Amino acid sequence: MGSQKLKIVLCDDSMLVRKQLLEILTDAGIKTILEASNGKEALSLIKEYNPQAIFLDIVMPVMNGIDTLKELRKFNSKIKVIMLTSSGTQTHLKTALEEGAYDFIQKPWKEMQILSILDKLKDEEEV
Amino acid sequence: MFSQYFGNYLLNKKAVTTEELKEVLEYQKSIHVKLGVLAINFGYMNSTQVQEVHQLQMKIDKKFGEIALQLGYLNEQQLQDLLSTQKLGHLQLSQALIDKKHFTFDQLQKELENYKQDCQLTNEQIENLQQGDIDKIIDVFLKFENSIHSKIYSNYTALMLKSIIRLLNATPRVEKNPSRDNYTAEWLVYQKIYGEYNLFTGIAADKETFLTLASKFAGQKFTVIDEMVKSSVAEFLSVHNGIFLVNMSNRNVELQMDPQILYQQAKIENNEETYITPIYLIDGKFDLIISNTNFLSP
Repeated sequence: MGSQKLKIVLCDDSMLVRKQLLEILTDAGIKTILEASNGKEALSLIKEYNPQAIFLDIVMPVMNGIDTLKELRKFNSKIKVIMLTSSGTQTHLKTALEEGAYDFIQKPWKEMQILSILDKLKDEEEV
Repeated sequence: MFSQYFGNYLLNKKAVTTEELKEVLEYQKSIHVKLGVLAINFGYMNSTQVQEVHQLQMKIDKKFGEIALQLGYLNEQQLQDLLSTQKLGHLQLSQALIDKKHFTFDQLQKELENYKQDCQLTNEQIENLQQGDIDKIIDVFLKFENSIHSKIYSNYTALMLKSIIRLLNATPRVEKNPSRDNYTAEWLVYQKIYGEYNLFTGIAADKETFLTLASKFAGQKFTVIDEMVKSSVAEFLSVHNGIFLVNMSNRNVELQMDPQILYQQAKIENNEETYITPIYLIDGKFDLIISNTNFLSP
């Protein structure tokens, strides 16, 4: 599957982070990018659109990223969850990995980190 | 970093004008600090001795250090100190002031002495400033000793200065925490950290500085406060607090944080446990607020 068919959710309460990620993903050729500002919104989008990956913040209002990941795993074990957070504590890292997170990026992030994950996602989807 | 402190002191004393300071700050980026200026800054030589060495350099083909050694104005160790400091280039402001003829060596020496005296700084503290050691700069200027969390506050503030350099690409300057009454912040981003202890944090600024912070963090120029501006400053505080949480986590202190909250016209309640530290950038000033109690007035 090429990058054009990849569907990705961006879940972060920061409008700035969503905008920056959206630009990177768009430039990388991702056509379907869905935005959510909290975990609850992200879960609805995942149920509706069945995306292959989600960039998920942890500290968010309404539903945080760790609770979202736990909830998500109850009905979707395939989606690749990339935690993208300022709160990269050992507790969060451990929980995220236990819940099967695909990757964990501590903010501030660099564009290269996002592009490298996108490459991995594209390769794996093609296989 | 020393340039920010000493430059600001000279500006407040009207020893230089804003235009002159801007000019020398710009000029200093391109220059090489001479040993004579360093020797005065370090207090190893006085201005008369430096001028004597300069005059001798015109007559004999020898380096400044060699002549100063011969005359006994410097010893080998002092010369080594100066040579290694010269490479760090943190005293360019003094050199630029001399080069641009705003000061003579005499005036420079006098102003440096005044600075130490007026700011009640010891030679060691001046050295810390010159070396740009942020943790030590915090200890020079800020006093958190009334708090049971003094070490945490000190670490947190030092980390904020590093975050400003790293995330905003700006050079911060702190001054002694002023005692102040309750006040109303035009804009405030607020975030609570909790776990083994509570830490209430905030960035308070006027509209202009709020825009400056957002522009620097997002890497784009903002002129009006909109949702993107609010999001940028909030994200800056959150990323900074996140780095603090990770640092603490690496020391086996697990903390968490709530989402940030943004307020306009926020009433800040100053109590014994609330520390308001003004942080100056070249183009603005904001207050960093830390407390172990909620500092917002209803």
